[in-house]
Amino acid sequence: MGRTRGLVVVALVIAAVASLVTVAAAQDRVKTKEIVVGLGAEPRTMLGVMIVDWTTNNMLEHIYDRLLDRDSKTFKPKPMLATEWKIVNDTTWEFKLRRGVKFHNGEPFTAASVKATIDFALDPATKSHFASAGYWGLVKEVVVVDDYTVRFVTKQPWPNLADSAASTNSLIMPAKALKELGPAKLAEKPIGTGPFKFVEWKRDERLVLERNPDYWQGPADASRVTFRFIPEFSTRMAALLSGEIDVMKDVPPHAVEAIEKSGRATLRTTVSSRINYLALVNLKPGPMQDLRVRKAMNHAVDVDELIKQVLKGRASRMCGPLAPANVDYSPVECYKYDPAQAQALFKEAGLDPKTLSLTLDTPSGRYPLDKDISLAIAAQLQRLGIKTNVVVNEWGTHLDKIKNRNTGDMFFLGWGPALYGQNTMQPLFLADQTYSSYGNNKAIDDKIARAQTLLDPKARAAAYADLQKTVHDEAPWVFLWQQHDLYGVTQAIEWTPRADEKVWMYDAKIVAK
Amino acid sequence: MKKWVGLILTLAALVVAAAAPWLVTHDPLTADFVASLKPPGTPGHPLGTDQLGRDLLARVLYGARLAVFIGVCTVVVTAVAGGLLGLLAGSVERWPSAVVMRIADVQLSFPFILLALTINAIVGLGLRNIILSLSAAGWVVYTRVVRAEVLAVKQRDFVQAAAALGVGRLRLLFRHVLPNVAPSIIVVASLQFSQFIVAEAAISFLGFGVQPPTPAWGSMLSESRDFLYVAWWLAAFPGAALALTALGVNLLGDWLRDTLDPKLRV
Repeated sequence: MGRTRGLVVVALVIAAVASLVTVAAAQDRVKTKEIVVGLGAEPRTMLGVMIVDWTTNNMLEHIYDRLLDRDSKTFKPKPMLATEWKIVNDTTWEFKLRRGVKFHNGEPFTAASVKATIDFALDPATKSHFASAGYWGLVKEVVVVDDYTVRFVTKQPWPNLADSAASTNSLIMPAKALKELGPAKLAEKPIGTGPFKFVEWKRDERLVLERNPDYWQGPADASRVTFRFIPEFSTRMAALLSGEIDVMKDVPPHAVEAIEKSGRATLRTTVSSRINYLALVNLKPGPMQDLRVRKAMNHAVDVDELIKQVLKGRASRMCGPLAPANVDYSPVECYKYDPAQAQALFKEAGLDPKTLSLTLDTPSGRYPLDKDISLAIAAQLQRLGIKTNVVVNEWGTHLDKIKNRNTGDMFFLGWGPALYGQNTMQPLFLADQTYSSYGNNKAIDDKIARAQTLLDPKARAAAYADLQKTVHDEAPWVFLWQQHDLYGVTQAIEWTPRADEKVWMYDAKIVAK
Repeated sequence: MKKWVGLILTLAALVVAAAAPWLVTHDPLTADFVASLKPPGTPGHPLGTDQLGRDLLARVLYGARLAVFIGVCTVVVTAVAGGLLGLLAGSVERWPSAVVMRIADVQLSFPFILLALTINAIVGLGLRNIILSLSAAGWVVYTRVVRAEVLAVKQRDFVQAAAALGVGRLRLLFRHVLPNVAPSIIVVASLQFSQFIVAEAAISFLGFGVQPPTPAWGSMLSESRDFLYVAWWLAAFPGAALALTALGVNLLGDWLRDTLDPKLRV
């Protein structure tokens, strides 16, 4: 007995000392102006324009700059590495570049680097995600006019080129270093024009960056930014509350109170442009081939109940494929929760819900409460007698299953930042795209092709409105919601989250309180 | 002491497993979102509810049903298959013995849980497949124990006498040898039972094995991690149920070994 008590005392002492040490470390970080960000996954490359993945590109844009930034309120493109941009003719865009910008290795930033970066993305040997027609694949050629003027010649009119430039699709790499060192060397020690310089990347553990004192917008307030990779939410939360990390993304709604009560961190929220949806897969055989079944699903799932009860109100309902945060959004009528109508539609399609068995694939921990929402949808379908098997996948497996068309009848996915119509409609509703679940509908194919080439804003708005109506009527998804992004941030850091998910520590100020 | 604690806990698990549908009024799969994450002691939900408002008591009890079912099935399959192979290896000594025992040795060089996981990854998800993979990973112990016992019993006088009287080989094996080996099989089975239950929970925890929404202790524990900060009961009750069941069966197995061990009897 005495021995057990002794052990307990020792354990308590160790715990007390450990918590003192981490709190002390957190205070030291305020003095030395360091920020530690806890993320769920590590980057998949250190090169720009390689991978369509928020986690990777979010870390990379601390090292590399985009051609254009976005206004933090209106989300309209604004100058960054490029200062002016205009349409020259139907298939040509011109960018004027900023003078006096230097890469971390001293190499000056010029039009050659813009050309080299896009050429690198388009080179088949690179195997970049951005080489496809939804991204830089639409570019025929990048022409260097002079050192500070560059032209993008496109294969067809591409009104959204500026939108693409104003995203992490355009993280510019140094032309000379890319040529002399080669991509493999550059991937080991990335060189950009951004506010932070690369220090080290310890696999599965951390990415460390330090302040670039010569940054063209002025040096950052933070002297050092460390990204720690902590896959488990509960571990990330414990790290935040104990002072090991200062910023975490995707606090689940049920943990909000625990953060607020901790006294160490506060909750900062924003309505995100990222949308969540339940795909009703028609690219493989099954009941979802039938439009009546897809419509019945939209009447059978009670989206408002999911938002209210599972997400505690932390989401904004979406009725069609685009949300109000999207510039090409136009309103459509919501499908109403109506079990009787769902029953009738199932019957019309020759299916008895009581004997229907469906499979739903879900990731776990990638989106707010993703797995729990999937289980809740299964429970709602159960009310009609539909048996739903929920398959919980590890994130990589989930994406592979979607790419290989290997999922069940439905899958849960998020998509964002979804700021303009092209980058949602084209990748998700054409049969040949990586992440699509729906396609082979001639009417939709044609409308997508048309909408994304219209340069006239009015005509484009009309085309996208018509397209959204058609997609809504085809019910390729159960339309769910716009996420609310919930961040837990320590009180010493002044930083406001943005709807476009740009988590950029250049914007953060560290204030001793 | 050991005997009674073991007996009570094991019996409790068996009774609960058999009678779960009559013990609780809630369906373990029916969600009631309004009543989500209610703490233990809430009227109508003695152990509280989970993140979807499902009754935790119902889920823990139905989890017992699943755990016991998987444990019993796996033990029966491994005992019969492993026992027969052991009998074969012990009675026919030449090459069949060598082949079976070398396979057993190879299999023993892999950790049990790793092997079970690997087999599960190959055969796929689901209740039948988890029983299959646990069995495929767990038969070796029986084979080794039974073979050793058979080799010893074969030398005993009464077996030699029966053989001398002209008793046939199969009859000799099943009438005279097997009854003397049976106590060892029972002891091994009782010890294996708890190992299988824990292994099943581990595999379900990792997301293989039994799939949600079916209530399994392992997957309930796994789901509870996201809610540890706000709902301790989601982890505590399935965890306690698993620990107590494993403890009870282990104590019972210990006691059985003490009682049935031929060496102690002599």
